[in-house]
Amino acid sequence: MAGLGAKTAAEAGAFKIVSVPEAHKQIIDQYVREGTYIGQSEEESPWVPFGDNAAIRHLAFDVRNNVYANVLWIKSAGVIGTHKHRGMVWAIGLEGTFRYLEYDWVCGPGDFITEFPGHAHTLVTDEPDGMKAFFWMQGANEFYDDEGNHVETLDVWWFINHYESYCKEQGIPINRQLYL
Amino acid sequence: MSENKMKAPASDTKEIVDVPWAYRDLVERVSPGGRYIDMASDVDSPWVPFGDGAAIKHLMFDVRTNTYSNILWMKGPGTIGTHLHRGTVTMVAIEGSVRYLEYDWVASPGGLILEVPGEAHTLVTEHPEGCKLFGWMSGPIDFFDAEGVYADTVDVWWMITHYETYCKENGIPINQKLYL
Repeated sequence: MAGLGAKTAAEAGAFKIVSVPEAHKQIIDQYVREGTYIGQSEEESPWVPFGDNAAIRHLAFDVRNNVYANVLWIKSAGVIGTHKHRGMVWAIGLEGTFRYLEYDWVCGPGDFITEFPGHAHTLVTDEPDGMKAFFWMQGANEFYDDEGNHVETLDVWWFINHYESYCKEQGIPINRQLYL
Repeated sequence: MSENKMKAPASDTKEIVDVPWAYRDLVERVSPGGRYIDMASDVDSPWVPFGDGAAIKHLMFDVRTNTYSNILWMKGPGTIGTHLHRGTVTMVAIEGSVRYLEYDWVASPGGLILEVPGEAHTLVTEHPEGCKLFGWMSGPIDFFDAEGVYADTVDVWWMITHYETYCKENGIPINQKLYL
């Protein structure tokens, strides 16, 4: 009978909170990290300018693993200059489209991409209304000028500083939810 | 003649060099910090019995990634029963020797053992003095009895419980250094 002794994960779908066997409940209660929720309001995390035509909305900082998650918004047809990743990247397109000059695909809303250590590429959007995409990144990300000179290396510290500097300037309280 | 592009290490000067680093204050404020755990003594962490013929010295708990590090000490010839890894394991043999019934190699001091998710195996030492193994593990390990019936899942919560229960029973203060 459905709901009683389901045999597979797909069948185990009771619409209720089930008490799960847990031998170490007290220790989990003491040490577990709460998950985080960041809604869409700018009070929870503001759009922080990134150059003249783009902004970043920071969603998570993990200083133990040099991981950072955010939404990148390029406001009209434009470029995020050539950069080289030394860690892994996961991304999902949210609005508009973007592509890399180096590759032959175009990422639109709902599309999923990965990038790996060693990839250097140039992010562009051809859309008059630009693009938005969610990025989950790990490790250092080196930016280069148009002659290939190293300009700056971005990592979790850069992203925290980007967020906190703007919050301080604007009198926006730091949202502790962003710090994993 | 090809240019030598390998420039590291770039100095052998025995002095602390002031490295350009924009986020020193941020790291100071937000990072959990690196640390030293004395592995050879009981100063930082006691030997906690693990069954009759073995003990574990806990070295690190990371509740954010379900990662844990310890030394497994088997005090004489013996077996740690068959278990299935759902994460990655890095181990270095420190003393004695150890092997798995499933594989054809024997680990000796200084040897490195790598294990990956999905592998089930049975740890055996036939060395008269047993073995000591340093391990860095992520994810759960499912233990099975001699009939192949699932018995217990060991993960960071199990490890913290193992450590804290023993400390409480023996009046040993909890060492916060072990919690990343």
